[in-house]
Amino acid sequence: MYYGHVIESVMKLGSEPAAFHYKFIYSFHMPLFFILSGYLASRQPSNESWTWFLKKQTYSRLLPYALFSALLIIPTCFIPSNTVGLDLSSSSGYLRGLFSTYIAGFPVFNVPTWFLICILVVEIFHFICQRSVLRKISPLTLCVLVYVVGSFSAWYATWFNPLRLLSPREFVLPYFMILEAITGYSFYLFGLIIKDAQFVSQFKSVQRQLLLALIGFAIVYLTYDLNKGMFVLSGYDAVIMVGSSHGHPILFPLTAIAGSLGLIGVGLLLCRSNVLKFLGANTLVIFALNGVFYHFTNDPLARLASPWIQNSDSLTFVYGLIVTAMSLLLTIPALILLTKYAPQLIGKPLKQGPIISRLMDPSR
Amino acid sequence: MSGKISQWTLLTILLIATLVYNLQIYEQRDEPIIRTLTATKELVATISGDPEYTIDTALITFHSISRLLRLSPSIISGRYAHFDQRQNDQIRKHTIEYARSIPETLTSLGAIKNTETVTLKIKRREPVIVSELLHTGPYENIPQAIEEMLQFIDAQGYQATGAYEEVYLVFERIERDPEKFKTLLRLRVEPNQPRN
Repeated sequence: MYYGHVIESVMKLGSEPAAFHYKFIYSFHMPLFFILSGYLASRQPSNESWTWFLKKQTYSRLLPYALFSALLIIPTCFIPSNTVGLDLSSSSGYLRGLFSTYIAGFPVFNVPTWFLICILVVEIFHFICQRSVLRKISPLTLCVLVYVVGSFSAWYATWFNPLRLLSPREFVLPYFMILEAITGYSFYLFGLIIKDAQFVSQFKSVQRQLLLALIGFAIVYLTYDLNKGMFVLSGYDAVIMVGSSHGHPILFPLTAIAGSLGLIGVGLLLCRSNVLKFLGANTLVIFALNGVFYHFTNDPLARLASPWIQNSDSLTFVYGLIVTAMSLLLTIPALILLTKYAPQLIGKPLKQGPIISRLMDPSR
Repeated sequence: MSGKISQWTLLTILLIATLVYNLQIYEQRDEPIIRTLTATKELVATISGDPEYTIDTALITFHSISRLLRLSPSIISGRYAHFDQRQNDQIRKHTIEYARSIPETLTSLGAIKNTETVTLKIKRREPVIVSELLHTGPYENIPQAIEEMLQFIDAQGYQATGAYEEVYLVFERIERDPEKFKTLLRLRVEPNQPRN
């Protein structure tokens, strides 16, 4: 995700190599997060009550969403930022931004946090399905059905696409990423399916893990540019899940799954790294902190670097890697501080912290 | 108990605020606004002639190119060098730049060549400040709408530079009744210089 956002800024300056890197990364990077979330879920319903579940979701998803959005609202006022098309040059634009974030569930001040809202809705879907549909049909059948519904909705239900909020004449409705959560849930179910099938345990040896990574990325490399749409967002020839723009209904899941499995292969190869383990355990905060770079630093850095990297494929890649690594390194101190002193605010409401006590009683 | 009441109160306040905000949006839907448009990459077809007919040429051109280059559907806009051109009903021959957005991955038009009447170019539109009005109704009423926009621009402390654009949201290809046409009118503006 960090690499994709760094490259997006270069692409916006008219770099052709960056546009292809962007398309490659975007063909699978967000589905991967849904697949991984599903991998951690269960098919069987837990004994949590509705009230407990909703309270937990509020504290672990909505609270970080609200806080990390709030964190960037004031800086956006003073520092020139990437406003993703929303005109924040006037007070009315700013007010619209606030309504979009807190009423419509579309985070214009911290765009990467859209995933928090979307996964919240996906988890609500799953909570309902665990207690109903999944008792009657297999996850695979549900996965296919949900994907078909998601695919049709993304194309036809554009009246419920949250990007409408960027137009100053559109009403503020409670979008809450529901449209994209349908497609997201199909990937979530795919994660559940590979977990039930014990797919990952088939790749214990380094050779097999390497093979998984190579085959996954080879499929993406060969197919990502075949997806020519039709895309909902005509200005982007790439999968953009935040705008429910998927392109081809078969090539999209193919590249998404191949790339995700490829990256799982890489993950298995690097799973002994403590730094990566730490980052992996704090994905939610990493997501939210990416907003700082996405909105404030990626664009100016790309403008500085573009004269040197403009049309070179390899230099674009090296630039992307360096800025990604630097951004991730800069998040680590914030991660350590938040994990140590305020874990309740970053999606761990059951933890007792030195400053704030736990937000929910684990015994209830 | 008091905690619950305060949560419900907060929710009610938010709902009322949203309702009021949306009502305001509804009331101001047909009023002009000032906004900044973000940068985009575009395919531009320059066509000379009567706008009644050049729009058809533009639509056919974009449709054919989109099929050849596998571009996703996009709305089309027509740009006049000066808003006077739209206001002057006597002159029926203008050079208009019709534009549609394209992805960054599209860098060349390949074998697609210009014709006698259509010149094609890939261009980048930089961010611009515009005054924008959603015009509902036939094109004949557009000059009146432009007058309204010019008054609004002046009242807001801006001045029109001349460049004028129409974005065709609902037009003759999808709606027969001209009263139901929806066109976004955009006049490029710049802040007035402060008087000494």
